[in-house]
Amino acid sequence: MAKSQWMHNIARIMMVTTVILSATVATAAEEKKLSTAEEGKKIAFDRAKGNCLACHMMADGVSPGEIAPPLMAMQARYPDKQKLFDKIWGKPGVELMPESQMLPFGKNKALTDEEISKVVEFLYTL
Amino acid sequence: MKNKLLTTTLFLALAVPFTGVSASTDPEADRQALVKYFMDAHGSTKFEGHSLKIEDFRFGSNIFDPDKMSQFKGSEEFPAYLDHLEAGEKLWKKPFANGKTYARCPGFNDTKTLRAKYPLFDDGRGEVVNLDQAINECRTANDEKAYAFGGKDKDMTKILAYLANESRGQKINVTINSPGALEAYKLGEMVFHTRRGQLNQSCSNCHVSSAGRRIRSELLSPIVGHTTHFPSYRSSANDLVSLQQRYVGCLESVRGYAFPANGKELKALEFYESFMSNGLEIDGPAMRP
Ligand code: HEC
Ligand code: HEC
Repeated sequence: MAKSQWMHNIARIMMVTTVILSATVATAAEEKKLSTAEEGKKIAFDRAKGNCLACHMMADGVSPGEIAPPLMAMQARYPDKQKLFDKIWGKPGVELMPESQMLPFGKNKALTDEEISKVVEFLYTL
Repeated sequence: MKNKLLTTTLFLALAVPFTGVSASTDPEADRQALVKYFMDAHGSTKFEGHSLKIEDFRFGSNIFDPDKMSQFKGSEEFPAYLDHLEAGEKLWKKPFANGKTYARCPGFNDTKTLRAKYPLFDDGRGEVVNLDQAINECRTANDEKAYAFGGKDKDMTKILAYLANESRGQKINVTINSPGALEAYKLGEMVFHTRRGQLNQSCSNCHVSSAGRRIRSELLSPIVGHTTHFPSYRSSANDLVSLQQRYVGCLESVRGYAFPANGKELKALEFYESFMSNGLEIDGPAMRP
């Protein structure tokens, strides 16, 4: 009796574990499914990463700042992806304004080149 | 699409950065240029039934948002800092171990005018002295331990709050009439206008060019009026915050570059910001979000 109770418990634990494990697998799979643009969106919205919303209105981001131009129609305005990358990276000569508050994310190592590329993919959906 | 592009262009056209930084040797001309910049940008804004005046800038970012201003006025009716004021007064009046009190220190006898004397440039010693430092010097002259600077000692902040409250209605009046004072002013100006940190922002980026706009959901205050109301009581921190402490906080927010509280640079910054607030009423402590 005691033994079967014990077995029963083990079975339950295993079942629960399986559920948890498959849940983990599912999340991982979901994360893999994130497109590059979606990953870029995450980076752009993350306060500890791009935090672009502090200054820019963009997509469905809530309570955006009012410091910078809204980011929209990006593909039309930056047909050359490299130019957009350079703008975010902070390459010299791409500032629109002399005293621009726009951050040189690449130059100051606030974002890696790979992260900036993902953000560019996201901006191209705007 | 065309409309959106137009909005963007308009937005850029509006966002005129302040480029009036000159390595000028005329602080009063700098101050007037800054006042003109703000009045050109906001002088037609309606505030409390009149057009915005530079004197109103002591209310900080509240001047840009009627809702914030009425919340501010509400919170000042039963301000959260009343207990701190009382505690500050007790600390001020409590005799030192040697039996003397703060009031016996040179220049400290009249609390109604004390706050407005600082910051000053002490030519004899060749340095800026702010009220924080003067309080500590009074303490050590009486064999008491100095308080830690930068809001690290709550008793110091309470005393500052008490003294600010005592001097309400007095005006900020910083004078610069020696080469040493001018040097300190220029150092402060440099600290204010230099970009730093991983986020590459200067104080002037946020508190001149972008003043009156939101960074995320926080409305940015103008430099003019920055020093009138400290220590402020920040509801977000549930505590009094001293000016030097606020400077350190803003420096930390641009990631990775900070000067020590009450060091040469941040005292110079206080000197510069105070000069830019000349003529404005002292109204500390005040509630801030
Ligand atoms: C502290 C404020 C601030 C933050 C944070 C910020 N920007 Fe900007 N950004 C600006 C300002 C101001 C401008 C306009 C001046 C300029 O172009 O340099 C700008 C301009 C831009 C432009 C050019 C806009 C145009 O109309 O051509 C792009 C693209 C851009 N930012 C992308 C980003 C991205 C992506 C992020 C986040 C990863 C970001 N910004 C974060 C302030 C900011
Ligand atoms: C990236 C933006 C940013 C930068 C750069 C920045 N600040 Fe601030 N600062 C803020 C925000 C946001 C607040 C809170 C809203 C307000 O009152 O302006 C604030 C508040 C303040 C206040 C309190 C205003 C009040 O009415 O209580 C002072 C004083 C101040 N900053 C000084 C400075 C100084 C000096 C520097 C440079 C060393 C600096 N700030 C740099 C964003 C910034």
